[in-house]
Amino acid sequence: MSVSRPLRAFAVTASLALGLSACGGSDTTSSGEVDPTGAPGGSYTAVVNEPSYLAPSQNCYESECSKILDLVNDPLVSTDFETGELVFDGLAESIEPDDAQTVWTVTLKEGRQFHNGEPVDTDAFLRAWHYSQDPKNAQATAGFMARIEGAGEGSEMSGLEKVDDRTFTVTLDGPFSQFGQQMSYQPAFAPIAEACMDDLKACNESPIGTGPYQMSGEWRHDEGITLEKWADYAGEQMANADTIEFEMFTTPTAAYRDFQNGGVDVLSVSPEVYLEAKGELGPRLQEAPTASLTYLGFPTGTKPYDNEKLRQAISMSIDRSLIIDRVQNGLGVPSTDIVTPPIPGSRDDACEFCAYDPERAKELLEESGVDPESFTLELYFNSGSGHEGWTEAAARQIQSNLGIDYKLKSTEWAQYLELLDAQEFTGPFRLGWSLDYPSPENYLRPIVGTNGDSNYTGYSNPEFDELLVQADRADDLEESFALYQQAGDIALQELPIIPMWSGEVAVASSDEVGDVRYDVGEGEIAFGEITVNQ
Amino acid sequence: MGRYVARRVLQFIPVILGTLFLLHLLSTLTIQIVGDPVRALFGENAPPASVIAQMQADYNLDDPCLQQTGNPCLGLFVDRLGQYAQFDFGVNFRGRPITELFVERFPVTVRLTVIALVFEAVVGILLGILAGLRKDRFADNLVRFSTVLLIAFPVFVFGTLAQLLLGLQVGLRIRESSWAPDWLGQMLNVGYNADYPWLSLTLPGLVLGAFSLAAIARLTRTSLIENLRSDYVRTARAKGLTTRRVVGVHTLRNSLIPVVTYIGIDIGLLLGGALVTEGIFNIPGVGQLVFLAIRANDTPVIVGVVTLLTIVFLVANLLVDIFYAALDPRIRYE
Repeated sequence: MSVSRPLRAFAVTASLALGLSACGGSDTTSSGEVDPTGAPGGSYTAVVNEPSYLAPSQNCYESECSKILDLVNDPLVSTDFETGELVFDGLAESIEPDDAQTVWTVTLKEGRQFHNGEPVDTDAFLRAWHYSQDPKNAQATAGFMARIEGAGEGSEMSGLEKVDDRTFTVTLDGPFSQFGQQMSYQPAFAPIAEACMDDLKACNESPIGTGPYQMSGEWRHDEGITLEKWADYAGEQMANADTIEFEMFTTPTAAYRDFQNGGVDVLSVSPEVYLEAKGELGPRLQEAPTASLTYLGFPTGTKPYDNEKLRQAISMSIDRSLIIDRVQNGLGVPSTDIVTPPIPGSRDDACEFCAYDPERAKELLEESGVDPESFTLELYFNSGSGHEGWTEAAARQIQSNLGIDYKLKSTEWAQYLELLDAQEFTGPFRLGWSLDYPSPENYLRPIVGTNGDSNYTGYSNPEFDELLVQADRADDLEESFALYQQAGDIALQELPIIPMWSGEVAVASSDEVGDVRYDVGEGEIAFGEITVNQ
Repeated sequence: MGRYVARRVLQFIPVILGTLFLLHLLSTLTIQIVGDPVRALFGENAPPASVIAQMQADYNLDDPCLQQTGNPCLGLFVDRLGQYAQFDFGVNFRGRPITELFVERFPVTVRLTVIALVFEAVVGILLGILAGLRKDRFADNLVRFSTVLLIAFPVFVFGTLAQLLLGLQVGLRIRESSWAPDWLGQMLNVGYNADYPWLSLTLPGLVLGAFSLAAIARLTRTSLIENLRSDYVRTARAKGLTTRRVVGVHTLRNSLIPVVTYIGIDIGLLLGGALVTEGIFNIPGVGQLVFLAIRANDTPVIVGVVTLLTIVFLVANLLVDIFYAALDPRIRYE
């Protein structure tokens, strides 16, 4: 399903409540683990849903196209998830900010080429970035360019300047220490070859990239995409298998049936068949944490939710672990921070009010002075995406622990977004977030910052905003993380949103492949690393 | 006959205009009430407003009447009719023409329809005749019981069961075995296989035809029993005609008229694509297109494809009507 990028994790974690049958005994034997040969070569089959666009990659802002493009394109730069530092394993040799964190100098590696032999030079980047920020071109990731000076005003932005063929400078409209991390979102910052720009339509069918794989034949819409190793690849990204066959399926269940039938070799198992797969596959099903966050937001300008103590009481009255175990079949990690665990700078003890403590919740409710019988809690969710189960479970816990009556309210997704944009919710609402780039900033500013792109609570705290700005200007990561955490503490005290849990995926692999790993940074299985047992 | 056809074709024009208008009304109301599909495309983190505005303009969704709930947007309807007249059914949110998407998938759906139709017509009529001739005996009871069972099962249960038991348990063993021929394994597959465009549609075709098979068997049975009691059959028998001729020629031909009507309607329905069956068996047909478009909130595709399907359905109906008049002269006389 080609959901928009921030949605994909929720489609997975949240529809867990749907249609699960407890079948498949644990005694099913897997047919003997074969040790992966670890040797390159061979071919395997994976699953993709119809991507939105493959070229220009700037129009790719969802999980399916980035799955393909992460193999077809080299990133400009990557971010290490342990330390949060930049790793120069892509097209850039170095990325240096000036002292004010405003003017960034990007130096490209020498001798890198596109699949068609064109050089990957400054012009290729300038061409791509100017195109992307131009509102006329309506590119999905145009927002990534928004911090660059002059973006969104015309066909060229003033903040980009060519120094020489391998060097260019990016001037931002203000200091921003995380710009390097932001540039690790590969599709938004990829270069575009001249031949591609000349015929974008043809390029979309068979993209000209810079990465270890290239397309074998054209994009077979709604059927599949075949990638083959590019012989002249000079970069550092892993590419073990010679061919990766991506197939498309109407439903995740159909994909899993094909896996059982011996067709597909590796896939993320959907909630519908998770328990079945768990029973059948044993060690060939592995779970891995993702960086997606599920939370409940409050309309902080509406009574009684403008009361901080009441929000804390509600948060403490929800038993997150129980909901994950019973409703989500154990897929998920209870939140301890707004920033999810895989992200550098996240903490496992930051959220005092995320712990389940009904006694403390009652005390907080008393302190708040809100009469639990004076109002009905209206809990909002978007229908048909599997949020029915857990929202109701949460509402019931609030009711039984605090004595507040509840009413569940659901709307279609499009209508839900309109209500969000207009901030017309009259009670807590469920939402999800998944990252664009691995930085605490990418959670805090959009969701909680004043007028953040995804701040639907109306929350605004100048002190919080100021800490973010200071963190943006910090000289090193350690300092900026400390400041982001201080800002996080404010948000976790005042709780305009209550974090619920972060996601987990289950990856199934057949005994024909090895070295299967979920790459939390890409938010995807690390397809390039997979080896085929020959 | 000529006059009948002309009249029927003339009637066709207001019907199709009316249907298209209803469709238009539904889609505009959906946008007015539910909200902007372009915004929904992006989800929680919206792109800059200018990007959304540009896309709305590209897809003709920036008309102010789409903000006024209840406004029928007649201007948009006229524009739309003009485009339809030039076989332009719009493009999806990824810029691919909807006619292209439809033409790619229609043959698959046609193949599936043919398999389902042949199965339901041949087996259904045979079972109906068997039950009708052996009224209240074992064969009749068996047919009645099994057809009730078929009708009672929702297709997603029946389809999933068939896929798991026949496609996976039995089929996988056949495909992996050394003795069984290739075609047998493909006939019992878990999903569509482009290398076997007909064979791999067998199982889904049977699942799809099962419901109508039950209906056809029961229709044939009832209608046959009724006609066997009629005067002309008694006369035929009295004249000393063989049972074979009485049943095969005199009774069956008359009994099949309601069955042909039913099949005619069914063709239209089946050509519209089978959402559930195509979903279960991963068949790249028209039903899958609609299924995916609904999931992706791709309004242009939904409107475009439903319009095309309506036209297909109405044309199929027109043909059936004309065919019907050819079969039964009474219908074309005034």
